[in-house]
Amino acid sequence: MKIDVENKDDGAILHLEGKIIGDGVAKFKNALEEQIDTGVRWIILDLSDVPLMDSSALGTIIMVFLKLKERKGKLVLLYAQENIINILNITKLNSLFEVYDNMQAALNAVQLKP
Amino acid sequence: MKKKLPKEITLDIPSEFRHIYLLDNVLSYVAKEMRFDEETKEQVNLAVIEAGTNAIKHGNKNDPDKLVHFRFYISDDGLTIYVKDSGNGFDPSSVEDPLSPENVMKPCGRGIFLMKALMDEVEFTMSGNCGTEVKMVKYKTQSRP
Repeated sequence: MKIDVENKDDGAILHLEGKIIGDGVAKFKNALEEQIDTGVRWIILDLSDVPLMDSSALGTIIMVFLKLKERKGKLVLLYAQENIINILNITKLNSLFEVYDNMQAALNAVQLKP
Repeated sequence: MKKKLPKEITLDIPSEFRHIYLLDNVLSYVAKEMRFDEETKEQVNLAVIEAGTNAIKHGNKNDPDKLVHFRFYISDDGLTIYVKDSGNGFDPSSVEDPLSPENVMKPCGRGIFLMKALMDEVEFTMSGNCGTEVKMVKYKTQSRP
């Protein structure tokens, strides 16, 4: 899988490409932890090119979501595909994560002006 | 009319997460053979990836010398999959409900739940220190009993 990080003032947008499974989960986790270590307050996960993620990837997102919440920050999901939305619904994580279908709405949600 | 015997496909992978991508490729082939619709294909894909990941991590403890064995039986009625590790076995009933309010924010414990939610049948067989085998079935929509 491929990860492109777009750093902003106090946050980051991660553009992800490919299935987040197998050893891709560790790569995904490292990329998110790097952002946490640099002190970001918010993260937008662009899932437009992610057809599938497993439960370990979901667990990684929960971990980062909670870390950002501790520092009064936020993690939101952008352009999640139908398969991912289904998994969020089945696991009831749809009640935890905000999912947006346009960048501006996601940026507004993390309280950043474009 | 005599029923056709199911077509069998087997795959053995060393217990390293990078090989899950190979499993993913085999699953794409199996789904094509089954003529599953896109939604069913993704359900089966995720359930088997969860089973394989569990076998590598919890069963074989990431030991690359230990193999995870996959058997796929393709038939007109549906797809039956067996995933077997060489670990010490575990009790699937000991896994907590990830939907209960106290667990919903926990980062782990959703793999078996997803397997059960996405497949029509899921059954675990523990054989002491000979490992755990999980059997999963996905019926063709018109064949569901």
